[in-house]
Amino acid sequence: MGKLTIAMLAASVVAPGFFSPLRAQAFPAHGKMPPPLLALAVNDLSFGTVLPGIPSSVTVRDPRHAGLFEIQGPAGASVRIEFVLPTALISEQGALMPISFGPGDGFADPSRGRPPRGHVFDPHAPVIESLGPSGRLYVRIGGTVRPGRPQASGTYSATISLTIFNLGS
Amino acid sequence: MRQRSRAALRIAVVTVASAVLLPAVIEAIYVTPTAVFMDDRTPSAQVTIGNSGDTPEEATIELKFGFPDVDSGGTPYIRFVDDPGSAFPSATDWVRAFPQRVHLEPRSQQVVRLLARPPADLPEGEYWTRMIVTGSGAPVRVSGADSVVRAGVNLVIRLVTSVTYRRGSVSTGVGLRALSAEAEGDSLTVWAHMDRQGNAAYLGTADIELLDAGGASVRRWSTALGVYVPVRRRFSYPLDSIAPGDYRVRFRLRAERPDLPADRVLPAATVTDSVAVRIG
Repeated sequence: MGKLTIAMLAASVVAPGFFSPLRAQAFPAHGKMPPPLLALAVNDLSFGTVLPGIPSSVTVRDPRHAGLFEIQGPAGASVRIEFVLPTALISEQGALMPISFGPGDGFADPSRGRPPRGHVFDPHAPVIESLGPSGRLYVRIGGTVRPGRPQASGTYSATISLTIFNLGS
Repeated sequence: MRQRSRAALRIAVVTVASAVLLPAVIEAIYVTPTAVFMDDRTPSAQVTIGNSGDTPEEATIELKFGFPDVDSGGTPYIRFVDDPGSAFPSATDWVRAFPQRVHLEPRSQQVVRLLARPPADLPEGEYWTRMIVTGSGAPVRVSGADSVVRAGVNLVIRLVTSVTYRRGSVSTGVGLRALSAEAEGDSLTVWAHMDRQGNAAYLGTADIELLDAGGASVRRWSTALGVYVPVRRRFSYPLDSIAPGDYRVRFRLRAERPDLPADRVLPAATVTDSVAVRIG
């Protein structure tokens, strides 16, 4: 908290001298402000209740349980998408539950159509995509958890990181 | 009475439909602009970081040296260099972001200021860094009784955008050579070697056009790109329902970018080449 206060104070103090004039960047002749680069995590990847000793999978075509990201940006923008995937979920008590991701556990879909139209990818590898005319891209992720026998009861969780690189500049 | 029932039914239908069709957004971070430019006249810039989601967000802002490069498979990536030294035109040591951590209430935004303080003896040219905005994950939401095993995964988002500082006279251009194309299955793969010219990165658009034997265009794709260092890049596109036969691929690089400020896209000559490809 202390660091945050200091940083913001520093910004406000130096602003009058260093930030003047803050020149607005001129945009193309069509006059439209390019849309921001936006990433939404719409759904967590959720396995719900699982049974000890029985693997449980969520496929990318499961709209309720698959993880879903929506990426928005300028139409035609070139982006690289990378996941950092966990190898285990952990409970509040520290117990572990392995999780794995297969070559069909990623799905990139520029339209979010029904049924989804796009291509399957391995979430361990990066994906290079253009955002298309709509400036949108939907990325789903599935996976498999393998509870042990026995497996301590409780809530297990982990974090998937999604990084979106703007490759165009 | 009957009208009232109909109205109630309509509300119920709308409520249920909304619940089904509009999933809650658990995390949403945006950054604008997606490319920041500064120079000696304007050594500062504003970046807006926002939260369009339904829950509060913590976001961190970090600057790290990196630039677009291509791996051995022709796939583009951002090459980060922890200690660029004098071998690379890094602006990371003298560009600062304030603040470096922001709290964003739902549907709110905050301005982050970038301030450049380059060394006085910095040579003419272009200097780069990358801004990394990381949104923290919301707690996983898994419901159930206490005596069972429940599993879920949080999602964390990072957005990586460019920051450029220009000193003095800067220019750019691009050279194109070793163009090749191949139809593999249902995909068209095009390889192009691109060399940057001048002392600044080339920001432009690659237009790849498939021409039939009569020279008519049957398919066209465009990709925004930046050429910072010499690269041999692979471009891949779906062929879908293209009929088998002999075609030409026309590859054009033009210094036009509708997504960037017009006065920040450096002028450069358009470069074109073409190559034959057989499909099917």
